Amino acid sequence: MKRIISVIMTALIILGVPGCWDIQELNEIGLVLLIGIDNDPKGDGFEVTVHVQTPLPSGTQEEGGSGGKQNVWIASSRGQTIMDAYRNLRGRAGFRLSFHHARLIVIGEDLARKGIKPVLDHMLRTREIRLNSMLLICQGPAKEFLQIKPELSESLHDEVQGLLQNEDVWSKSHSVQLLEFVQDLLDPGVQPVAARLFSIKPENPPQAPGGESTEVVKEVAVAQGLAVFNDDQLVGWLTGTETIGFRYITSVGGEMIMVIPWHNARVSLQVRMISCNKTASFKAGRPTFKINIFVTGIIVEYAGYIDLADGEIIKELERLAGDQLANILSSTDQKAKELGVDFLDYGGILSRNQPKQWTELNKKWRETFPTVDTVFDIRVSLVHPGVIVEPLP
Amino acid sequence: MHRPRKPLKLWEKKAQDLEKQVQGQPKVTFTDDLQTNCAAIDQIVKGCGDISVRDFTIPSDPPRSARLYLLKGMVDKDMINESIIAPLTSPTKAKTFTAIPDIISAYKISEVKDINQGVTKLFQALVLLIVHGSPTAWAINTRAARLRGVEEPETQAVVRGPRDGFIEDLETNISLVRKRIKTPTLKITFVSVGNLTQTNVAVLHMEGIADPKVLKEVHTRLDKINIDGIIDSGQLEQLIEDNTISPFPQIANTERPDGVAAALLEGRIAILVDNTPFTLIVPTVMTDMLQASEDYYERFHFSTAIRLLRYIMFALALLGPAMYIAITTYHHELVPTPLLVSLIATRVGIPFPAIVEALMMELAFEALREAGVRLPKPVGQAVSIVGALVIGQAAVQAGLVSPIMVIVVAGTGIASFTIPGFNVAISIRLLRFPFMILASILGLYGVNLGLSILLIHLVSLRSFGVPYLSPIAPITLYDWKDVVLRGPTWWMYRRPSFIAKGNVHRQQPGASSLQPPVKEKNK
Repeated sequence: MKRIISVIMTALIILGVPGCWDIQELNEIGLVLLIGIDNDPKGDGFEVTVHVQTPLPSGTQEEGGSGGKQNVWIASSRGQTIMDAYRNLRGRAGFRLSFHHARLIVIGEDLARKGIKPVLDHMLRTREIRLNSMLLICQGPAKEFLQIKPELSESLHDEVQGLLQNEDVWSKSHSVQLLEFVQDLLDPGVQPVAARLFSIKPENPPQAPGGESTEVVKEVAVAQGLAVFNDDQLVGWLTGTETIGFRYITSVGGEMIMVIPWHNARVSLQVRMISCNKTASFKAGRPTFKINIFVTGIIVEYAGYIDLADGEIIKELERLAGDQLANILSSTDQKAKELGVDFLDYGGILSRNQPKQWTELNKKWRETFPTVDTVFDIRVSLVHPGVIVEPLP
Repeated sequence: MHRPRKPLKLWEKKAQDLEKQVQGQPKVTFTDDLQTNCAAIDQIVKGCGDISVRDFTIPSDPPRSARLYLLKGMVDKDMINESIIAPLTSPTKAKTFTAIPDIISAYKISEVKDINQGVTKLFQALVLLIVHGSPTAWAINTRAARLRGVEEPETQAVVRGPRDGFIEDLETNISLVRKRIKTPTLKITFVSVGNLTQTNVAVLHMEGIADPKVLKEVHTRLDKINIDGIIDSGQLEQLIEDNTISPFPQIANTERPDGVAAALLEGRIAILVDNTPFTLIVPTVMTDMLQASEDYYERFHFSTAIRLLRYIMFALALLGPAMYIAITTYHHELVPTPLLVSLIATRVGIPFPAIVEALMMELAFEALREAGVRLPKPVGQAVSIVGALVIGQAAVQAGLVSPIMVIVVAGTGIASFTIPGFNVAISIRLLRFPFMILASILGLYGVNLGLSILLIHLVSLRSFGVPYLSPIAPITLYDWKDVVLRGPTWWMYRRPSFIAKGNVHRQQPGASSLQPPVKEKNK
């Protein structure tokens, strides 16, 4: 009997030791969905802005306890470090903040130019931030960006997430996860990039969703382009078209629409990257990169009168499309060389193809990079001229 | 350590003496004298108002007086009149007879020499005939069938399959099994259990298939029983199972004769108990509890899918509320963000922690179920309506529980009803509560801990020497054809090897009838 009791007691003690701590009921937590981090405008610390999904239903409690409208609490707070800022925020929140679901981290432009190493260190060191969260850089302060009223979705978080999901179909934006960013940061052969966010004033300001409210959406969030980093400091922005170049050169690929002026009419091609092979060699002591890209496309729009179902015509269109794509790619390539930042992973290609030379070049790659040659070899294959073959009479 | 017994009261002593007498310790044989015999029997059955006596005289030469003892209400009166009394009292027949059995037209008649044995037969509803001048009595079977008909079993209904079920009569039940297995290798042994009830228990096995060791063990355990009475096979089950403390049943029960026949053919042993339609089947393993006899009657695709569903539902019934509690109170990061957002919205304003909420709902559900079982049918419907309204709607509207919790509890309830073995379903329902408490204290770690303990316990269980998790825990791969999977019938040419230990071939492999036809090449 004594033995049994002692076994039970021991088991009870052991139970408590490695258990999960502490119980948090769902209605006691505030779900942080978006984190915005800026420089503290009034000091040398940070200013953190969060979107918190609060457990309280907004407005009147019309439907009882279930399914009330979601309420997002936007709050900012300052602190000497990011954690300090969070703690100051916790003083204001009547619930526990849970950062597990903060999948979008927006960093203000000023902070990004100054260097985001403290932010990255904090994100990697704490358990609550997931490494597959998206790192986003916004033009202007993150605090202001986070005040934008969502145009279509219920919250800005959903809206931005939706924007990022669209990138594959237009290729003008590209999102980078926290982990990818840090990996690029640690790799000497490549410099990191991050998604670029900004806000624009729409030409026809639509009414806010809901209809009843007469409030006009002043600004809308846009995800387009890329933020280019040199180490942890923002050095420049890529435009949407340059982002297409980035995605194709770094083998990310994606769909894009290409407009080709041809015989007094425009042909729209829907193009998708199939493969991308990159090789590096040395010509006269200078590294030369050859980038082979194979894309396929279909014709999705043409308002002219020429029958496109002709092998010669298709070949001509393929050649024109190839030239245009080459222009896009070299503009990106040019931009990288102007900025002097190798975000296109040329160093990586070199290290894989010419490992011996890379060990020498490794140290002075930053100086060598702007002088390298790049040759684009693009093959376009138009698969079919669309559902209708002959143009409308 | 023996506690000194309280001295017995006088009437207790008397009853015990009588019992001893009936059980044949002092052996009293019938004598030539009718009066003595009758006096001895009367002494024993004194006070048993259901014993009826009929005196008559056999007009033989010289006339002999005779007496008929019978149990009222359990014998066929017409048959007694026509087959026993009429021939015996008829002067023409009685004159010429040489032996009593010759003129009694009953299909079963046996000689009884011992008075106590005679009394035992009397209480088994046989008619006891005592004739003056004869040192033996005759027990004549004129038992009347006062039984309900063979109906469809209520507990294990099937869509496809035989609709007959066992009833409360042992002989009928055995005949239902024998109807399905017409071979002399189906052996039936009778054992009598219960000192007072003298309940007949039949042990059925297929000779040459059933493991003789298991059979021996069954008999050993049955013989060891020393109890005043067995009312239902459930009591017998608890007396002979391996681990009586475990929440898991190690003996299956069925109301279906086809299930018993199938089990016998697999080499299991069936224990039929008189006065109950529930038959025990040993050895039983965990996976049997998740199989229904209909699985074998439907085509195998569907049966396999249904079994898969049952396994999923089994896990859900055991862990559903526990997982919900663990994830929503400790592991928010496991829930996809949009789902978590709506979960939070549904929990707004709920005054209780998730565990209290879950316990409340589960208790309410169990109470409703229990109320529904016990109440008469017309009232039962009222209970379910009130329950559905109170639990489903009013509790949510009042803000006492979240709608998600209602879904979880309802889902768990439905899941527990999909388990074919009712006895394992109730143990799962019971085990759900410790899992919920573990989840609320320790989160998923607690659930894992509980599962480990459960698994260790299950692995240590045995049913008549067969490991309870066979064929999963001691792996016998070719028995897996009939666990989650239900293979095509031609493919399952072997019996479960953990039960029919030696003779596992149902049919020689390669027998044409069991294999898909081999395509002959075109000539």
